[in-house]
Amino acid sequence: MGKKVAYAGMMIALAFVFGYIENVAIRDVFIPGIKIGLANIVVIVALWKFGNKMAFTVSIIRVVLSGATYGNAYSFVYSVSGGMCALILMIVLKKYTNFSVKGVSVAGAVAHNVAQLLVAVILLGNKWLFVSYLPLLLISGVIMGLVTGVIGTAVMKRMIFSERL
Amino acid sequence: MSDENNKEVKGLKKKEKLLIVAVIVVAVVVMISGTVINAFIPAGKVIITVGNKEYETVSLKENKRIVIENEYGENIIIIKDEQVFMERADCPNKTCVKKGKITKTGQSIVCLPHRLTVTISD
Repeated sequence: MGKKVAYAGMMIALAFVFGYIENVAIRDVFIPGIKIGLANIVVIVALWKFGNKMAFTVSIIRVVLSGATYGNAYSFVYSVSGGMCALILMIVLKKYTNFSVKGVSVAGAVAHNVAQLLVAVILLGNKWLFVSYLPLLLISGVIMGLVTGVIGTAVMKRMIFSERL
Repeated sequence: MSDENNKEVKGLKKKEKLLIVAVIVVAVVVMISGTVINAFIPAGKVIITVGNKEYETVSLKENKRIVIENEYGENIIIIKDEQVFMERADCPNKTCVKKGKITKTGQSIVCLPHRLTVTISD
């Protein structure tokens, strides 16, 4: 139990730092508004090495912390909907398919982007956004999902986790 | 078992590739239909929404500088020579300003922190 809490704390801190790096240091390197999703690496590792509950805990606490630090009520709605849709899809795919870390990560990233776009269309009341932003968000989801999936796979190969939790 | 492992070393599984291809196909189809919309429906007006309500509609033919100040912050939208762009915004990420100029039907500039959209419509 104690060890699990320690791991959770460590992963939340790491995810938070990744969120900071993306929000502050490397914002808009590629295309304005498109992010890599570095924090998702931590969520993936949590999901694979510790299970659904841990992944959920890390994801939701990170979103709340980041929201309180950089965002406002509206950006929080986007983060929660994106994060939770991605997580739910990743849990389902991991459980019911033989998808690898990379495949699950791609699906999660795409789900994250589509969910945020849907929320934007609803909150902003502008349905044109769907057509103009969907292609970019789908393709960036595939690319960034592959990037985080490859990094996640590499991290898990090299990391040694204590077997008894 | 070893076969399965080999596949993973090489890269992605068949179903995963299928998922990626499907997503890209959807993206391309939407992109093409968007382009068709752009090409066949002439751009006529600029619709600005704040929150989810329409704030102002301006003809694209007009040259206008629109200043929007509300509880979310300040945005300055420029419509000039049938081009629309965000000149200034005091939002934290400036994604709307970096978006640059839009000219075609269906294109939009979004300022998420200020809940503001600028869309070119027919």
